[in-house]
Amino acid sequence: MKKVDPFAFAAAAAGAGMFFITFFAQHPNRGFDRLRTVDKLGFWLPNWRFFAPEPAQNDLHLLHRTLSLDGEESDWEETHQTTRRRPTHFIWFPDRRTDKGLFDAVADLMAVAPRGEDHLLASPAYRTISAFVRRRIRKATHHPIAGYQFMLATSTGYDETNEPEELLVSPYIPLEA
Amino acid sequence: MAECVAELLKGAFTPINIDREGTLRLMERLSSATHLVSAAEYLARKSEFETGSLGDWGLIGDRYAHLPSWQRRVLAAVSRPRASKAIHVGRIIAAVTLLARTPPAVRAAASGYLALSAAVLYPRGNYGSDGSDQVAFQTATAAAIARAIPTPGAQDAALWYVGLQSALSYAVSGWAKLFGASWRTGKAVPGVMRTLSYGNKRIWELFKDRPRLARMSAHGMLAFEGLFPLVYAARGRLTRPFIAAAVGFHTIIAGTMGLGRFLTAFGSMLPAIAYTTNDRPKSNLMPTLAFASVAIALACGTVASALRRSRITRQCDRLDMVTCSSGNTLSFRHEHHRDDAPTLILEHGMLATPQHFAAIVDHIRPQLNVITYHRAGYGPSVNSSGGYSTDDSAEDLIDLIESLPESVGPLYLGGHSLGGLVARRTAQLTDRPIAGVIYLDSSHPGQLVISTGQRKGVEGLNSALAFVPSSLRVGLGWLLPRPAWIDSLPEHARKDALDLYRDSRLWKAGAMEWRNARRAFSRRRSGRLDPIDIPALVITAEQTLRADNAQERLHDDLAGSHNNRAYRVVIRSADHDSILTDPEHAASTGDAIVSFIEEMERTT
Repeated sequence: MKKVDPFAFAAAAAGAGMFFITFFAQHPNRGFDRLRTVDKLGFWLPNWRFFAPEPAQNDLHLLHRTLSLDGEESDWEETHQTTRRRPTHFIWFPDRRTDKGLFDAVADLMAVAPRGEDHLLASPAYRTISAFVRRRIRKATHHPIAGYQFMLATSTGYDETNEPEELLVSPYIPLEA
Repeated sequence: MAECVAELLKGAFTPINIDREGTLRLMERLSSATHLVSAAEYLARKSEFETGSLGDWGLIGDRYAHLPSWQRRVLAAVSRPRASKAIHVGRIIAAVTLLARTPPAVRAAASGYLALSAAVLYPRGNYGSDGSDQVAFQTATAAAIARAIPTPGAQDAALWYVGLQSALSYAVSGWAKLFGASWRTGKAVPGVMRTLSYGNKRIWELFKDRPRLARMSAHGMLAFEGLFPLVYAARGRLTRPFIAAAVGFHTIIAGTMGLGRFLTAFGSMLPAIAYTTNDRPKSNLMPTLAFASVAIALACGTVASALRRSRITRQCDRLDMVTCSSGNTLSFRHEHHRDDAPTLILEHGMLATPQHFAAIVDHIRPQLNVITYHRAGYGPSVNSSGGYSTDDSAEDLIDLIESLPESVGPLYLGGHSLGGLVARRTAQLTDRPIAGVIYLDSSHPGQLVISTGQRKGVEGLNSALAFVPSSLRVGLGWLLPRPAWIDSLPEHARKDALDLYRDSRLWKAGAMEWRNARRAFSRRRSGRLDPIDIPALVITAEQTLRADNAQERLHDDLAGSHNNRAYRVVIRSADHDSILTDPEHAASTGDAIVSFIEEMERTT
């Protein structure tokens, strides 16, 4: 009888176990994601459902406006602009992380939104986006301001035949001196 | 010339004769190239490490509050800007080590470091991470194991693991897209290409007015992805064409969508495809164990599904039954405590169960007689008529009411969500006197006309319902997580509720009801309701009001249609489901129901 190498068996069993969990965590309907709860980090269990079942077909936009100390509101301006594509992005695209990061944070925020304003304002996604906006304002604005407000909107990107649509407007956020 | 073409074609359909060490080395190098670029991209962005960035642990750390405290302490330590920068520098060194010719022990350590560092830095970079990070982690882990246990069996297991994950990644991506209407019609191609994030203006312009071309390219991609596992069915003869297609696919994606790291990440898994599909002798223990475990799980799931169905059918033994004029049979529970007490019939919502009312029934039981039942198609009730509209359900309920003895006290009809509309319609149609209608966070026929939020939510519901009944029928019910509301129900109701929740019939009936309701709601030209001359109680969950500005108006209208004979109650902090299932909210809801009925009985 052929002797089984215990290390090889352990490696094969571990691989088979991981494959098993991965296989049963890919249902097109995310309601069947029970096995994903074993991955507390949300990282080591692959999710192969890229751009499926429905891909995102809109761009997300983060805008903000400020309130001056004498009560004057600025116009809305884009806090972060999606990086325009260049040929070098084929091998080098550091800003993709920020573009994708905002997309992920907004997706998190929109998932909390139906649970009401209290949940929304307390969520890490809200605090992260709010801090992201605050940091941009502080970098770009050299005069003191009383506070700010941000807005999330979607657009159809290069297809300009559709009007951008507002997703969410934050409450006014006072800015400590 | 013909011989030359024949030779080329023959060569294109032969296995790739790569050996174990060559496969491992190529996988390591391509994977390390992904890690190298990824780490360098992080280090190139100074803003990544500033306070208020998307990786600021002080802001995002709460997303990992569920982890044990020691893990959170580790993550907080490695997420500090200086620490994470140092780890990224280490990742570059490890990646370069793997690109060079180095001894196996060094390679094991380098791959291990890349895998471990990717895992601990992931939470910090979670906002902004992508599929290439997932793949690079998988290949680095497999390579570390293969180098750390340098026996042929262990290395084959690692390479089989990567090969099977690679085939699964393409297959899942392809098959899951098939469930999306925009991929089937081809609209997804110009749809994605029009975005600044992942698109390309020229490609969008090419596809936007050429639906046939868009459909052909979407279908071509789905065919390539979905059929990728055929590499394992053709004993290596399809390996070269599929690998060539995969490299071409990722090159196009890198060029058009700016996903360059995906080329080396997914490319790093392809050598394992080549090795595991060629004729070289190797250990097949890992795929044998993997497929055996999947097959056993599928078989067990099917048996569990049949047993669940049998338990649901057996619930009939504990319930009364009525056959309706439609041919449907309804299973109901009549809790009759006092002859002189009013009787409340409770109508559950769409995709819900009579067990949702368990906490309320327990609370109001001493004062009222209560009837709960499964609508036709749900649980043990049979829908043989095929009718799932509000009118169909109302007519069945009328037959149930007719089957009750005349001695039953004054009748009240209550309904949650869509059940509220069934209760209302029944009150309008029945000849038996109805003493009151109770709406429990009820739907409104005009909700899609009046509420923009609910109109948008419809799309979400459609996709949430997609493929659920068929998946449950083939035994995948165990993959549905146990919903939190089950555990807030009284103990005696939980087991039946979970069985019903994971039963395909609940989802099939819900989907049919939603199809009918959506059609009826969309046909309405205005939100106004016909008047009904019966007193009513409209109970609203506070969170429902807060989530949708139009809800106040919808429930005002429900109340207004009862000719100024309606009462309004808001259950503080409750949401649409917890108004029934949370013990505290259910008690408040029950108190409101009892007060209303007592008031009605006093005044009549």
